[in-house]
Amino acid sequence: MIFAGRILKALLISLLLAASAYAVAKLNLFGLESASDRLADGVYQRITAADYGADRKGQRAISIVYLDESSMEGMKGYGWNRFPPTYDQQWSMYDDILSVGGAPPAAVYADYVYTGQGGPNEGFSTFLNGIAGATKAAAWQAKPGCQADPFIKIACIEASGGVPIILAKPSPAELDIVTDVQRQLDGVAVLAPALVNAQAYPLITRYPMDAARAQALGVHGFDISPAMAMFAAWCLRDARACGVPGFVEVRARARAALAGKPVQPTDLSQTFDAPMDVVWGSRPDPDYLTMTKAVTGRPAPCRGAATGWVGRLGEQMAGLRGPASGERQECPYALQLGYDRIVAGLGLQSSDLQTLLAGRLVMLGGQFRTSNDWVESPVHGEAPGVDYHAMALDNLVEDGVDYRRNASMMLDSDLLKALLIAALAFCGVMGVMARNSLLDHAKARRAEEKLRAVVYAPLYFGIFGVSIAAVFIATWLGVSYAHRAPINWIGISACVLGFLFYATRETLPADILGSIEHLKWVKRTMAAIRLCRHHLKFEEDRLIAHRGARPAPAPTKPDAASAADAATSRPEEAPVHAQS
Amino acid sequence: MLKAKLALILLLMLPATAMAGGLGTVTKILRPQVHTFDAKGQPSGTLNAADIKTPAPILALGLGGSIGVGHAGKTVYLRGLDVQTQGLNATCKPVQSAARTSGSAYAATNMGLGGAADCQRAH
Repeated sequence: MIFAGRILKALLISLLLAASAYAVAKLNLFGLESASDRLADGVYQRITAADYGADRKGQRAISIVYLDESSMEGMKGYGWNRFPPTYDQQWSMYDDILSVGGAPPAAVYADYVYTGQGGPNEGFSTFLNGIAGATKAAAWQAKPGCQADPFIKIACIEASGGVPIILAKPSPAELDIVTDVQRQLDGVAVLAPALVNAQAYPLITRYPMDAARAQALGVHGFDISPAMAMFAAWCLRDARACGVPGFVEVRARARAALAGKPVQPTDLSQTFDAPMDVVWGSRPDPDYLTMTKAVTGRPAPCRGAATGWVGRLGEQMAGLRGPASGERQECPYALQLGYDRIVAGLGLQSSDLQTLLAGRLVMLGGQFRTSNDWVESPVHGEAPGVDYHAMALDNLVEDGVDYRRNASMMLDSDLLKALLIAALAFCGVMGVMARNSLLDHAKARRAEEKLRAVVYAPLYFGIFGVSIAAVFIATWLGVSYAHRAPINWIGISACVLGFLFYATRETLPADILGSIEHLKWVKRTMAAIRLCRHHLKFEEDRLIAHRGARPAPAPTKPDAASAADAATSRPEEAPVHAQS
Repeated sequence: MLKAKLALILLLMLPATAMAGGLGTVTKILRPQVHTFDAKGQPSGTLNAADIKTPAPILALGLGGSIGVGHAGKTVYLRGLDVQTQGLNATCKPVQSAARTSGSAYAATNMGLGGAADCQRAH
């Protein structure tokens, strides 16, 4: 017969535990909760990084061309004698990217913010005209419908036969200044806010501002992030529009806009409804390895080939390797090459440039060691900002609308964690109660004062093993099927295991010892432990030695019973050590 | 006297030709018009592809790996990107990766590969 009261008790205990966990999560004391969330996500990513992008769909589409200190040094041989380079020098870089691959890229994103505030704008007209020519701005810039929102603008550029060029801009939410240079560039290219939150990569950003202010800040309806803009450019070229009906609609609206008809802004906020939890892959592009060997004469110094998640889990548990530790590290995921290497051409063939640029989503960015445009990658350690955009784009190309959502920004994930803890704690309490019932049964049936190993071992294995497995399965299901960032599996496991060890702190040692106490070495060990505990016991110790009890005040009226009580109570007040 | 002068000129040209042959040749100019630079990287104008007879021996390598070919009696330097070469793919010596410290960040591991700064021709 099962007591309903016991079940209610177990329920109450588990709910109390869950409520405490929820309160701790909500309090986020010292930021421990969010730090723990990030740690759980990072470790999960490191374990599964080798499994990301098995078909290399994103890697085949995305390239990075970068500038760094050694690039600037190398480019001195080609007239780049100042930093930043002049606008016309930069245009020559864009021109190379657009032309030397044999066919133009599908789209270009430049992770450089052009504000025109860094000095005289030498060659800006060349730069502006070059960009306008590449995007075929003459065909669409005078059509108001093409400026309705960034998606339609990209579609207008493609419909006009141009290459979408996306340039970085500061987020209007952070900087409410638009310079003349930015305004002119906005007329010939797409501007996307590049300063993104490293914990969650935004896709579509709507600002709480009125239309007049939005227009003043160069916001056309809403903003899209660089990865989103590049993905839109990629999908708008695709006959299936990447399976996103909204992009088919955008194409139709762009045609209408180019015909001079008024169009409504696009609403893809239902499809891309949450910021992205960027998943980092670890297997470098084979073309990256080939090109690196071609230009350096030696293989890229990458960490060994993927070892699979079991090996990586072992590494994490043993603390053998974290991001950016070890002599050999993960090479970048996306195919990338320095611009100076392209210009010098040493070791490269035309086919390499074709692989790098033709029909690709090309991202230009800086990898200057002295800049602060670096992000923390859970897999690579420090990674350049442009790699973050490239990885976000890779996620979109790989997974489309099933990209991994940042759970903490969507629903109350703390509630989810608390419910999971409650469920597991409930099972734990019920397990302990079941153990006690089994012990009663053993006493009644076999007159045994202890449980047999064949009885308690599966029980404890069930309690602990199922709890851990449930946390892992919940994590995996959430990531794989709900497309959410992993739950805080480390925190939940620690919380649940802590509770289970507490709940079984008496029964587990008693059951195990009951089975092995007849062994000689166990007896000795237990005796040693008892002795040790006796010596280390401090709970009844006093810091200052007792000098004897004060004489009791003489009773005004001698009472035989009271005197007898005092006499018997005196020895109990003596210190514990005095008795021994 | 004329024969002796010719012999002297030939003798003087031989080492230069041999050295040029060692660096390789430019077999094709890939763009209709190319930018030219001097040995230190200062822009020196543009040339039409037809102005450079190919195959042209590579006379020298300039700053950043620019490719020096003869034109109008002097050496002009071109971008490797603008020309097709043969015999220039020399073995490189990556110096930065050798100087990398163990456990350094991603940047130190992966950056600087294959650039002029770290890929030096092995002579």
